Amino acid sequence: MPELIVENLCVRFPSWQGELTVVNQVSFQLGSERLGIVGESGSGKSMTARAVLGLVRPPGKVQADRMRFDGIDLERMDARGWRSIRGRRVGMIMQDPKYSLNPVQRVMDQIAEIAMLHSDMGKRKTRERVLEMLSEVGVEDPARVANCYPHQLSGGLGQRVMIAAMLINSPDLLIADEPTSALDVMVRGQVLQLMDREIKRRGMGLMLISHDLNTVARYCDRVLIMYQGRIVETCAADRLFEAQHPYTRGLLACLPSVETRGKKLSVLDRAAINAEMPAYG
Amino acid sequence: MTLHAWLIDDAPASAWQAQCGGYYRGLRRAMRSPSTVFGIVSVLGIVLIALLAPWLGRVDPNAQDILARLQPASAQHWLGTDQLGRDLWSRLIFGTRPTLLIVVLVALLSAPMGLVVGICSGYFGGWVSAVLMRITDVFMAFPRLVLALAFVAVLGPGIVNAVLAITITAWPPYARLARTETLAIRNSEFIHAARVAGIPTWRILLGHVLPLCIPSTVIRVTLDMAGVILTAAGLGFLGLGAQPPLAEWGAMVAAGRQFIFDQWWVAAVPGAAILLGSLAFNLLGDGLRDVLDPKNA
Amino acid sequence: MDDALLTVSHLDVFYKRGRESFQAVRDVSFEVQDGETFGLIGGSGCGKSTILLVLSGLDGHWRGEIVLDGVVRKDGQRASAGHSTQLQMVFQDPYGSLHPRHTVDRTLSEPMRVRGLEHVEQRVLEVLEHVGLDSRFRFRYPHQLSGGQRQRVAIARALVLQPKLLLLDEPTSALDASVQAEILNLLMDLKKQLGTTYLFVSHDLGVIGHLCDRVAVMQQGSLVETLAPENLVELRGTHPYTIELFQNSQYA
Repeated sequence: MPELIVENLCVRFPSWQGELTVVNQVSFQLGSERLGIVGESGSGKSMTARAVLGLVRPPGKVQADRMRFDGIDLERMDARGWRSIRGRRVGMIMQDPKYSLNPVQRVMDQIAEIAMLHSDMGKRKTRERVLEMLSEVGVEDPARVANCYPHQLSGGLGQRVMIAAMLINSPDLLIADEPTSALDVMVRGQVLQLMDREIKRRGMGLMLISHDLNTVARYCDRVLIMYQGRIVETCAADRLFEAQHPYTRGLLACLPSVETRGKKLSVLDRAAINAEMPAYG
Repeated sequence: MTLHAWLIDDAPASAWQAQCGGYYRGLRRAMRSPSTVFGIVSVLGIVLIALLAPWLGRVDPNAQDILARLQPASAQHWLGTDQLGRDLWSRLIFGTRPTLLIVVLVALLSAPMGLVVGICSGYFGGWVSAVLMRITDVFMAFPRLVLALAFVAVLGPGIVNAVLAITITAWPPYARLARTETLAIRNSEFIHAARVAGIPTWRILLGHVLPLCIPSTVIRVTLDMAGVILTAAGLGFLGLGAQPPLAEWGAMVAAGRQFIFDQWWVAAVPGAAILLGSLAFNLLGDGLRDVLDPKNA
Repeated sequence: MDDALLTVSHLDVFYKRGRESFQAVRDVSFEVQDGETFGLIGGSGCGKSTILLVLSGLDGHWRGEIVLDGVVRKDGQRASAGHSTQLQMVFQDPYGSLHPRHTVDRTLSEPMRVRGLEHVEQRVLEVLEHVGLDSRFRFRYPHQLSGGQRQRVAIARALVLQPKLLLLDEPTSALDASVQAEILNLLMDLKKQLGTTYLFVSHDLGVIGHLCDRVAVMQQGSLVETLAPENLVELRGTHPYTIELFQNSQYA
């Protein structure tokens, strides 16, 4: 199984107060497992995923001691090299299907285009494959959906289409950046379960980026917790609720539920957390 | 506390300080781009020249000297003389006045008109919008110079009439722009919040919608200034704008046309001034776009 | 019940898109008691936000009857001038609900000034203190504030007129979990201090369960059931949709 190795990844952006380090010395490895990255906004979790896929736009600067996928050096990749990786070996699912699907292209044409980019199947065969793929991701009426434009689909259906498009080339790794936060509560679970099922079935790797501890605990094997650009804690997903770091503990404690009725929610003690943070970087 | 610290203070003590801080940050942003600085300096330069014309002009721009007509540049006449022996340097300097006057008057008349029509149309929608926008369409459908020509032909030539003619053709794009902006602003949550807070409609229009429409209009007006200078020059060239003997760049080019092959500088000098003036306003507009764009705020 | 602050009866709301008319809310009736926190929960597009728009007077295409603190409105009738002192609203998006070019001071004082109230300055400082912001924030622009601070300002704006009923349209769904906790605590504190009645709309069962006394469950424009406190605590619904909603909330 190909492996993603990231060592001491830093992403910096210039700002008028000097350079801003958005991702700070992040290291992890990811094989055929489900890795979750949790953190609040501005923790650098999305930027980490973007850096791995070479999607950090200038003036942002990416730097790492090592960043390899299946032995390929991702740091010295040109546009053509990226094309052979993105979509083919690594798929990416973004937050809102509304923005990641092309609004003026039918679903069929979009998925077929992605499929044809990376394989030399005939047109007819590709179309059959697309319909097959759509039904695999739980679309009840693939022929009708394939003929739709993205704005005619609901959020949940749109995200299924997105998943189908990303899985059609059987990538080795799927990166999902908050795949359900734009969706209705009722379909979130369904979409996540679907993603989970396909990943297990294909033995792929998953990098799931989320702000929601419960989601990550349920659908991942291992979890990285990020705060202010750094990984503050790594733990097995089933032990997430026993995590030690004050930030993780704080995040767990501040979630409201029926059990916290009438009580004050505990709030992150940012001063204490910052005191625990290592002073490097 | 230094002025700089006072201006960038994160916790301003008064509305006045907050306002100044906002302007200061905008100015600093503008100063980062060399072309914006060039635009600002040039426009300021033109304004200064217009104010100081009597001192810079050296001689009366209308003083004729038939014996020294169509002379090339020399120590006495820095840029040469025209067909009536008038000093071109002097006329160029004094020519900034009618040009600026036209530009400023057109901006002051057409931008508010466009804003009022656009904001009302965008905010109220329905038949108000339909009526106002059809009127706008009518004015937009006319070719600009032709409408201005017709207008001047009816009212008679002159600077004031040229300004009116240009204004009438200049406001519809601002109305369109303001309407588009207002449509987006109208449905934003802060307008909803203002309505729920019981703030009267006229206050919402003036205090909430207008300030957000002004930046794009200012940018557009500044960029259009170049066009206005050219239209004014065009009217002057056709003899429908400024009347002789008033020194106006367009009229000067028109006069120089007869001698363009032998005494090219007579037309080239005011022509270059028109070019520089439009360029300055264009660069200033570009810079303003960077500064005023709410995305950078 | 005679101590109802808000009574909504047989509310229908229509939208026109081109020639098609679409019914966003269908025959919804509920009551909010004085001093309670009433929740409205449902998936996206179920009509819960539409109800808030109608109540706040921003939407005119409705039929039915709304009685707020004894004042009756019927069938699309516009709100009267005093409406804004009875009811205020906090919006979902803290980045979109504050005017980008107005300072915090202007945002808070304008509703009072248009009403010609006195001691505006004093009141602004007082509300800022209520929502946990010190006076340093008074002359800042929204872009100088974090998401949580903006939402505090939005809550302060809703409170300056001392409304009886506060409509909260998913006020924490755009915020990080830790900031959400701060805002929820603030809302609870304010309620204890001021006794304001809340109508809280959310899709998040955790937030609703934490905060609300009673909750109404909505599905596709209709109100399917209202849960009493004891049923809410145990997440015990009777309608199939409610049961499904509660189950799904645990999986997402």
